Order: sequence, then structure tokens, then C-alpha cells
Amino acid sequence: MGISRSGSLSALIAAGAAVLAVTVASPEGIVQRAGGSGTIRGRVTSTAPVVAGSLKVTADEKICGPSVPDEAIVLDREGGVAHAVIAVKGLAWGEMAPVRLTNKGCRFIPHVSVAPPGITLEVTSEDATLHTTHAYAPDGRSLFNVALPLVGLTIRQRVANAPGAIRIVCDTHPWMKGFVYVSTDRATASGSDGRFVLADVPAGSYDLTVWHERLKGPAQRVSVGTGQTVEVNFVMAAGT
Amino acid sequence: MFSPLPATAQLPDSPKELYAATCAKCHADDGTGRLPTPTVKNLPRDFTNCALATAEPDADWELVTARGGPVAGLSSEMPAFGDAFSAEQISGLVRYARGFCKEPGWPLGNLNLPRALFTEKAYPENEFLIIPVVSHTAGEPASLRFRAVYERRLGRRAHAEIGLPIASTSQTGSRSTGVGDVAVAVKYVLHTNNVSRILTAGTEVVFPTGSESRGLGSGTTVFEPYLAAAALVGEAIVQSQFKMEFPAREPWADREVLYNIYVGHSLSPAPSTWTLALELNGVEKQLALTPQFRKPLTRTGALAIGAGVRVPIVNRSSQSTQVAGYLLWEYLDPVRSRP
Repeated sequence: MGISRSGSLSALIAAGAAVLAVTVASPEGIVQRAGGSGTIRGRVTSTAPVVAGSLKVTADEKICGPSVPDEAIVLDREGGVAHAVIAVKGLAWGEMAPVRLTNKGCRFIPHVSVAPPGITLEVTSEDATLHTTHAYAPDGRSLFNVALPLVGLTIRQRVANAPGAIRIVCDTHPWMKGFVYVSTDRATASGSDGRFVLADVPAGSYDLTVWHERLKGPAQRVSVGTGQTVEVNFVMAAGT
Repeated sequence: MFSPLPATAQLPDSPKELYAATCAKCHADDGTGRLPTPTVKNLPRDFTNCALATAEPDADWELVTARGGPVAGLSSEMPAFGDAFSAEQISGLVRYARGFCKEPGWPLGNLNLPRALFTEKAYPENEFLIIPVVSHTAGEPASLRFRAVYERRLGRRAHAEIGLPIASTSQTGSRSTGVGDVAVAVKYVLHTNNVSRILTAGTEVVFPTGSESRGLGSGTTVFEPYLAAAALVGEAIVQSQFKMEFPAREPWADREVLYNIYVGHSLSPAPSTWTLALELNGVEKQLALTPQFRKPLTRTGALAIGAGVRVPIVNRSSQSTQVAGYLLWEYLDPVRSRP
């Protein structure tokens, strides 16, 4: 299940305490929201080694295979953490296309997506079996549960207005788990190498928060100057 | 990429195959909901248990299949199939799933209709009821009566009940409060086509447990045989009852004939919907009309209230106007929604 590590938990926590310095490639004292915009980019990492885990498939082995990857903590060779959500406090979303969530190979693709409150989620399946896409609010309430018995069926479902990590499960394939992170602030998820980019950020000072389903990292403050790129790195530790 | 086929082309045609490809993932091929490796956390309802599988209307099952368990207070692990299946496919699946009850003779819940205030329900029930009635006749103080009624299904078609009344009446200026006449009743479903018609025969026996001198009872045992029939006519719910009352100490000529006809309409197929209705109530040549409503208090429909006003339409000065209601609890059904 979940984290599959050879390193110790204490090493992880120690690494997490040492947050890398924020590199601000711009002069001090930027006035909030002054005219132009810049880019925030960076990387989310964790230092402890991880052995890629897998989850045993208990139904539909012909379609799902004998096992699927455990995506609770996905690190690349350099320690980049995938599926972390970086949000810019106070920064509004622009226009957003519906967020697409695909049942494929008895996994949710993407494992973590981000969405503003109230956006429409397009749920679809590429597996020739019955999937259900069941969403739970952060407080455990069931939000919706739609059946996808067909390849290619797309169901549009409005995402909850309340911010937080909406847990997505499939009731017919209990190992399937994913998240839709609903954020009032503009947010993005880190890629498989742990990298993320937030472009067109109006110049100003911002607090950045990071969320991950298992790992924790501290918020950081950055200043973005017009036409400049700010590099921000997060080091994650095991959550409590 | 997605399949180039239209989505529906991948589904089997027959309800049996469609059930096997979808519903059986959680409900099991045999309808019991018991799988070697369970998928869902809440054990699904056992479709082979006829008492559980027959009591509700097809419309409830279709609604839950289309919109998911929470619409009827059932588990949210039951997903909504409304975007995947057509209405015909859903009704075929419901027919197939209800076929897991193999015992003949269970009346289907399609005729389990909303309770009327005065017309006897033809469908047998497991319910506990509190029934308050306030009566007022011109020039007299109001009287108040509460009845607690326990109803229980017996086997497939029979039903027994016992009613305990507490009455408060006013006679010659002084108010009396106490136990009224206790009633026991049985009924039996004679016929139903399981879709739109049901006919039930029953009898009630009212014992003189209430004080006649204090105005709390009739002073005699009363035998009250009746026929109750119900039908679904388009969107309308029609219920009727014909009853005769034979007081044991009165001559045959003093028997009374009662008749009730109810026409109602439920605003949606959801178990928690409003039902609005009008009843015509007759006792010999005395006629009254009772506009009324029924509204379940929970999504499961296990708790509900009904209320209305019975207004005389002939001989207004001698008939009382009544405000009547009920609070019912279907005590075998879950009151709270499942998670």
C-alpha cells in the first residue's frame, strides 16, 4: 500500500525540514499586482529512495492485469514528486476548459487533477468493464457516483463548490483511487519529474502552498516581477 | 482512443446479459449480493428475499438505477446508470432483478400506494402510526382523539393490526380524557395484477374498552368488515373502501354503511415526494370532502406525515369538521440514509 520505501521515516522528516531556498530572480520590493506578469516554476522533491509499489488487482484481471502501479507516492530517479498540487494564494483562475478524468487500465488518469470550484468534470472510460466514478468530499460525504459500463461514454458532472481534495474511487475496482483538488486559488499539479510551471502570474508577492495525498511541505512566499521567472522548490516530508 | 462504435452498441441486448455484465459486479449473478471477493462496503440488498424485494414500486427501483442510491436514501455505492442506459434498458434490468424472488404470491409494491387519511390501504404494511384527529361540530366543544396503531405483515398477503386510542371529549360542560375503544383488524390481499390493480378484504373489530358514559367509547363491540381496492389510472392514484359497521347490541337495521374514495397524485417517483389528494367520505347519506397531503420526512420514505381537513358537504350543521393527520414509521426500513 501507499508508500514503499527502503529508507527510514525519520530520514524523510529530517529532509522535509530543510526546505530549499527560494530563488527570486527579480529585484526586491515588487509592488503587488503591478502591471505585467511573470512565471513561477519549480520542482517538488523528496529525498528518500522509493521502490515503485504495485496494487493487487482483485477483479477483472483480464482487463486490468494482475496488478496496477501504486500511485500514492510517485518519485522519479532524481526524487521529483509527481501529483503534488501547487496553489498561488489569492491568484484567480483564468478561463478553464472542463477537466477530463479517464478510467484507463483500471486506473484514474490523471491520478491527481486540479480544478476551480464548480467546474465541470468530464468522466470517461477506455476499459470494457463496469467502472464507477465515485467522488467523496474532504469531509467524507459522497458527492456523486456515476456508472461507466461502456468504452467511450463521457459523463459531465459538476465538481463541488467547496475547496479541498475530492477523493475519487471506483466501487467495482477498490484499488482505484484518484483526486480532484478543488482550489479557489489558481493551482497546478507537478508532472512525473516533479516539475511545475505557473505562467502569466501578475507581478506581485504571493504565498504558495503545496498539497500531496501523502506528503507534506511548507508554504513559501515569492515575489514575481514583470517578465521574470521565479524558481521555487519544495521538499516534501511524510505527512502525519 | 475511444471506440468508434456508438456507446450503446457494446451493451448486450437481453436484461439477463446486461445484468451479468454490470449489476452482477456487486449484486452477484444470483442476486444475493454475496460475492467471493466483495466489491462494495455496504452489502447490497438480497434480491432473492421476497419480503424485501417486493415491497416497493418498480418506479423506486428504476429511479435508484438511473440516479443512484442516495436518491432513495440507499448506499452511495450504488452508482447512477442514467447516462449509460436507456429507460427501456433500466426497466428491463429492474424486471430481471425483481425476478430473483422465486416465491409466487407476493404482491408487488407497485400497489403500495400513499396512505389516505380515511380510506383503508389495500396493500399490507409494516408500519407504526400515530393518528391525531380533532373534531368540531357547530355549537359544541372540540373533541380530540389520538390513535396509536401497530401494523404487521403476516406471510405474503395478510396483515394484522391493533389500535389503541386516547380520547378527550366534552359532554355537558365537563371534559373527559381516557382510553377509547381498542380495535384489532386483519386484512388479506384477494387479487392483484401487480401493476395497476389490487383488491383486499378485511375486518376490524372494535371492543368497548372506552367508557360510554364519559363519551369515550361506543359501549358495544362493533364488527366492521370491508373491501378495499386501489388502482393506478394514468398519473392518478385511486383508492376506495366499502365498509359496513355492525354494532353487536343493535338491531340489523341499525348497521351503517361507510364508503371512501381517494384520488391523489405524487409529484415525482422519488420516495420522498409530496402526494396531494382529495377524498370523498360517506357515512350513509352524510358526505364530506377531505383535501390532504402526504410528505415523507426522510429520503428513504420510512418516516412520513399526512394531514387534511374533512369538511362536510351535506347536513353541515350535524356533521363535524375534522382536522386529521398521521405520522407513520415503516419500522423495517432504515430511517436514515445509508452512507
